[in-house]
Amino acid sequence: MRYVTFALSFSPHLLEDVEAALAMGGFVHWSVPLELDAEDEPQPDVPAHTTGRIDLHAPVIEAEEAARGMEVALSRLPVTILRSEQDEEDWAEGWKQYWKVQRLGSRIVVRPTWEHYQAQPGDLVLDLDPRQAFGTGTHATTRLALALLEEHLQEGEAVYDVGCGTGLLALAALKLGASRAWGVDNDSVAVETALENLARNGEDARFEAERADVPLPRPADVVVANILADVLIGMADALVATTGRVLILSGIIRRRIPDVEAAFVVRGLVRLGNSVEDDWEALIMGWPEPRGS
Amino acid sequence: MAKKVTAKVKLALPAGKANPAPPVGPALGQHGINIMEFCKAYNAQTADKAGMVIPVEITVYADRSFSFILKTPPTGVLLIKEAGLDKGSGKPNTQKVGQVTKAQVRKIAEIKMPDLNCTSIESAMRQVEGSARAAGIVVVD
Repeated sequence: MRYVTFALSFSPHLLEDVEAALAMGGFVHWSVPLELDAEDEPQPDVPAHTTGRIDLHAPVIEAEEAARGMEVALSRLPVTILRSEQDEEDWAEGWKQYWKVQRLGSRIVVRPTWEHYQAQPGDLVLDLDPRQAFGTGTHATTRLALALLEEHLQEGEAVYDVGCGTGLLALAALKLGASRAWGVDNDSVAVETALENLARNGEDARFEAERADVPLPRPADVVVANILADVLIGMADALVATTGRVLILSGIIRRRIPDVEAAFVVRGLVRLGNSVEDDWEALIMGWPEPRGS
Repeated sequence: MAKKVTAKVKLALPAGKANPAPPVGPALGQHGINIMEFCKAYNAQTADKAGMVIPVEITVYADRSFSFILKTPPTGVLLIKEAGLDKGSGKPNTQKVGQVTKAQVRKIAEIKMPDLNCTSIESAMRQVEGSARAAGIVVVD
């Protein structure tokens, strides 16, 4: 099926009026691209700026009727309408083109569930379905956390993935030799997704996850938290309290590294190393000497 | 996980009936987010509002994950429902298609308050009355 797109442009302050007029004209779906705030951290409660644009789509056979309906509905508003035609794409599947098999570090290979991959000797393949959650390995912060995990995890250690998203880091830890893993996320969709992904890879018996806003005490040797600088600093007490041996911190823009490091040094940890990609940096911190000795 | 925002888009959709066809497909597909996952989540959260247009504001992050918040229905939809009409008037200056009472305007204004840039219910009501006039709906006491 071919679709006609009507691109409506108008003065941004008229958005509410244009939408009201469309709704009263009997239209039930359209899209409004929004302008981003300058912040790189989301503010769901702060409205984004409107741009004075609405896109309306109609199948070609209904386009003339839609055009007439729009003309009537918007007759009193100064709106410019540009019309174009597109072939229908397979929207339901098209997004998958962005998710390919990818190698992270030296041994981990992340395979989206719909892709085929012939494993090479030594490969640790993780089968993942991202659903709606974070952590598909396409972001630098995940790669950085994984690199430190691969380098520092010792055989048989227990790992706690804080802000687990899809569960990728917990799963990678188990494949890399961890004895067991826990996950926690403040988003219940992420927790469900992580549980599904670990089960898909046959690791559900060694993994537990739950929804919580701060990490809960777990007997973890290694804690890995890939979140954001301010969130990491805000939960520093809880992170340090549950760290048995080392703590991997990721999701940090490079200029915020001194703040994050200071927040954990103050609580008794020392810096053991780091990894860097583009503007992102991850830290690994640990106790100055084995705890309890 | 790191949440760097790459795009925000608002979609007006019929409650409980999102599917991958336009506008959802083109609006979200270009950002590489899982469209069926969005549709399932939206439909689950709006199933009890069938028959209404429930706009949704979607935030897309750098790793192609997303979150969304539901908004209130467009004023026009609420006005038509209160006035018991199919749709508004194409010639609102000359053709009056229905009427709503002040109490109904207040009811709509209360629903819309979270999404309007209004500090008082009175100013929200004035906005709703403006939309009513634009649709050929008369406000009566």
